[in-house]
Amino acid sequence: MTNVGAANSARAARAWLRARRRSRAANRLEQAYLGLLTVLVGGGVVASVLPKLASRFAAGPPTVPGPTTLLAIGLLWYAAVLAVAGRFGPLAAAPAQVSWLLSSPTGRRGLLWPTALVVLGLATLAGLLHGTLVAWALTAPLTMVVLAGGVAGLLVGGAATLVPTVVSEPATVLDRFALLLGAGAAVLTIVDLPTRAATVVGRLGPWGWPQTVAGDGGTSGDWPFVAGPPGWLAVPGVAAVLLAGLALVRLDRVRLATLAAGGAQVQTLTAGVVTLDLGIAARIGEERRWAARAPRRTGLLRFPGPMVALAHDLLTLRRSPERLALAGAALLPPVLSAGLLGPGPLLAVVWPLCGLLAAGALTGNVRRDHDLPALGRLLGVPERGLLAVRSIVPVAVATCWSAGALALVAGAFSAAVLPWLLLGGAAGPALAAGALRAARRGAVRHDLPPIVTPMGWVPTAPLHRLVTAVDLGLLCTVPTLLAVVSGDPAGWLPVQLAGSLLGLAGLLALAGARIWPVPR
Amino acid sequence: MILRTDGLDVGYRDRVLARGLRLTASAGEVLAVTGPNGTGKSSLLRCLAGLLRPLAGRVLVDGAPADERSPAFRRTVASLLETAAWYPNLTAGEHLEFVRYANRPVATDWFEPAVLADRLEVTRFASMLPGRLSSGQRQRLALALVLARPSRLLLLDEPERHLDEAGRAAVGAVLRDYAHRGGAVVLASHDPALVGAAQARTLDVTDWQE
Repeated sequence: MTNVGAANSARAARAWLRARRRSRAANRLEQAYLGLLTVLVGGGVVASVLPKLASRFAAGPPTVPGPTTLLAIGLLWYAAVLAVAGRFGPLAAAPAQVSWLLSSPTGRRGLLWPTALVVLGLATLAGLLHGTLVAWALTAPLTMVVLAGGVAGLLVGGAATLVPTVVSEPATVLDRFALLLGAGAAVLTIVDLPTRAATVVGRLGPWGWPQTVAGDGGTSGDWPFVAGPPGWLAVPGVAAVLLAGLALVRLDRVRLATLAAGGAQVQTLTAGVVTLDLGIAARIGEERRWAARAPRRTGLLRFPGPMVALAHDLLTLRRSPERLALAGAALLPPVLSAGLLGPGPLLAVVWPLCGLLAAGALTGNVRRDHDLPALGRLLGVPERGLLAVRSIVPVAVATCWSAGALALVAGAFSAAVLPWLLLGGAAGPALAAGALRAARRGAVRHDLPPIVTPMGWVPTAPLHRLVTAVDLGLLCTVPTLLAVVSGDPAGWLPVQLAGSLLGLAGLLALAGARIWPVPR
Repeated sequence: MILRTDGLDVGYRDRVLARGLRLTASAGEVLAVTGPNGTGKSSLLRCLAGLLRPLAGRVLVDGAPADERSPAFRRTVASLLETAAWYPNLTAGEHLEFVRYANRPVATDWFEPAVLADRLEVTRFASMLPGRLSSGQRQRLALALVLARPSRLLLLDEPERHLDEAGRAAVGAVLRDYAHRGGAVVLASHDPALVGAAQARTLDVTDWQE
């Protein structure tokens, strides 16, 4: 008699599927050739740049960053890892598996462990990268610091994999942890901890383990972290392995709904990658995000005429606090990169990109209006007028964001705050103009001609879309970017104001003005 | 009794769709849950399948709380609640074979795949890949698959979707047959003809609303 509580072998089910895979020998050969070509070309590229990278790595940053800055970077790093893990499950399954295999009495642990190993591997890789960053920042001996990062990554990955085996809504739990770490990073970005406190905070969690190891043998004489006792890394190492092992053992406790949700996210992202249009993934993700909401309070503010669109934007803002949190989190990378390297080219790249991200978090309605012109017709507002009203919230948020970011950056390298605050405020509308243009990009234009290179054909459509996202924002913030590179804001304020107004006015003037009729 | 619920509240966070719901389904019984759109039929079925946590109350299958993570529960309950997904590289016939394999052991007196395929007219497209099937053919295949795996409680959400009249009649007859084999069926449906063909007892979910 069958033991109804026993699960069937997952290995046998996988072997059954493998045996019936429809792939021809020619396809397999083609894949092997492509793989070999990728390895050879990639290896060649890496080999050519490796010596230059190694010498730069050995030189380290111009100044040794403070312990608090590195702690904040660590916290933000693992907040990002947890947020990504929450977005994709972190355990996911293909829809067909959810429909027919995972709903059968086949052992769920056996079916899920390959996915879990990938998750743990990716988290460990993220930790190794964190360790590498710390080793570079402190010009510390590489091996042990990077290893400490790997241990930290494995612990975070193990925890992220364990969460869906314990709770029914892992995404919510992981998001909350990510928010907590992000809030910690925000506090440390503003408040400089005394060395002793920083040492204690660093030992408390994975965000500080590479620094603690670096305290052992860092070549930077003024690095104040107190090293842990010899071999202390073994303790977190054992804890990380145990946590990962526990997560693997408990895989049969993961719920089908969790796997289906993770699978849907992965499928959405895959659709975006396959079509070379991540905008598709963003649109589907946004539809899904709103479909999961159940608003408690309903009703629009009563604004006259076209301003009803502003009421809509304010309602959207009220219902999506996570978008404001994202804009807030985007403040941290510019400040931390300033703390790591001071003013310079890196800050001039990080600041506008984060600004576009912060302003872009609030342009969902602009994108919707552009994708579905019928919505604008329903409101009876011309395209240009509608865009003008829709730009109010992004401009306001981008102005606050930009002023705050540059004020905090000035604080990070001990410069006068007021000139940077004013310059940042003046640059805000330009960033908003860039984000609004990005929101109105539409789908990737696959009709654009490809570029022929010795390596093969390169499609220009995704590049065109990528550039369209940032061109206006960068062009209109050139004065601020020059000030950021030179570290001196003097004299740039009026030029930046003019640039911002010109960018915004140009965007509005061109909205709705078409050279030829476009079928809708 | 295979299925029993006690004081079940069904819905989402702040929105209770059905309150204090009590239902039972015994071997040989077909229960049709009816009611207008948005009244909680699908949510109720998701609760019974252990996919959605009830707001209050409990679901017992063979006397044990519903938990789809347990292999014993998955051996007892088969469900088709949403649009099914497919392995793009397995034919319709191979899907049937695969589902039987994944749910082994299968009792000798259970539905024979060939007979099931004939009754639901899956035989006509058994050698085709899912990408080439019409929506009605896919629904027939999904129903054949969920019936091909051995179970004692069958949960179906609007099985009549995309089916022609002959298809709905065939499904009604197969559900009746499933019940005769000692199983219990709970289905949500808007089709009185299907409910009649399956000789189902009906439960109007609006009777359990506040």
